[in-house]
Amino acid sequence: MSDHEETPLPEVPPLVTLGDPRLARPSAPVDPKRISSPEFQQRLNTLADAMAVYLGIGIAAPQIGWFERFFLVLEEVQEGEAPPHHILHAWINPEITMVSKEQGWAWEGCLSVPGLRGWVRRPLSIAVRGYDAGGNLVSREFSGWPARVFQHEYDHLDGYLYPYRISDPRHLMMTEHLEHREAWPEDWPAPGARDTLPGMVLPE
Amino acid sequence: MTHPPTPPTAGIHPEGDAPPDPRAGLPPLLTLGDFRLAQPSAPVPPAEIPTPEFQARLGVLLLALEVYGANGVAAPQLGWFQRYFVMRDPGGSGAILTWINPVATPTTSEQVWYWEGCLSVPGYKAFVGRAAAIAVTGLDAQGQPLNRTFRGWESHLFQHEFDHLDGILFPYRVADPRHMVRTEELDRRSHWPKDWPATGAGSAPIRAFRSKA
Repeated sequence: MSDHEETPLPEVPPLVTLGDPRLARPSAPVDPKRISSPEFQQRLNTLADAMAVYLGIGIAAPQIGWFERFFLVLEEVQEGEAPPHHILHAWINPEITMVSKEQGWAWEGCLSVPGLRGWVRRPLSIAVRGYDAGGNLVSREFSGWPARVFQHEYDHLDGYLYPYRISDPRHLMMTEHLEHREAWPEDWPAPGARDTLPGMVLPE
Repeated sequence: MTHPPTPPTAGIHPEGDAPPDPRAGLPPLLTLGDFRLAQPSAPVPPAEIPTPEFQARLGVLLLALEVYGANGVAAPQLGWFQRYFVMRDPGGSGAILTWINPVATPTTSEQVWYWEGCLSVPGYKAFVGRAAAIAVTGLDAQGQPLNRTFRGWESHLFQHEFDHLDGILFPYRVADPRHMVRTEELDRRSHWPKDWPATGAGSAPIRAFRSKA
């Protein structure tokens, strides 16, 4: 509660979280002819509202109970000297067409796994293809953090959550500990983890 | 994905005009991710047991058991990295057992599976299999030898607490990552399909700490 007058938050579906069996199953493709329909565009809007309400930087449709293959990611864009701004991208029926042999390590969190963070290994770079919100087929290449976010969201479409990607259970921890890294031993919980800040990827 | 972490809010150190929090007198609970909780603890030198300092710590462990409504609390969870814990003894009269420097030996290869939780892993539960029967030796709160055999629920609880002395938390015992779930989802398990997340898990008992307002 607050004394301030605040803009009411939009109504959004509740989050589906770790342990809900529906979140652990592969989702179904979207019929591309449906993308331009008002019904699907409304879903994209609601998903964007949910991302804002739940304070995410990416969100997949299954996380709000729609078991279809689409997600949103916030992409940081840096143009010239201007401060970076964010663009919201929709990916519908995305595919990962190439993954690099090079792997990277990063701290991940997930709206469906509240209170925890994990130290996760994934390919450092990827090439992807999928439909955007306008129904156009788009191909992109990502490296570093944007590649990380894409792979995390993509995993939701296949029923994977990042705890399923953890190689050592010590790599999973309560979020509050990430605020006190200065107290950690150098190699806790893995070499390089202490000094890799959220939003960074440590190449292997 | 989420934003970078924000500092913890209410719940751990509640503030405001609420009634006095009984947890105020307790040391903060160490939680999953605290590297100290993931290290083996040292044996208690038996000569320390009768000292007022050590007896006072046992008193705080018992208080924590009551305040948190737990079935067991191990010293490392309160930041004391020595090998002792307290547990409820459901087979007995609801008595509470203190174990110092315990040693446990499985007496069967059978496993017993329960849902378990931990004060150090708030918000989550897991379906964990542990030895169905154990023989235990150790010292009691007075430093006297204590020998017991445990089966089923008690065996499971003992091993959970004992694991803390070796720096092991229940997420480290999970056979499949799908066996760890949010407590809120476990509360809705009447809607789960059969065999999610493992055979028998939907109807297995929850050997978690008792919820207390």
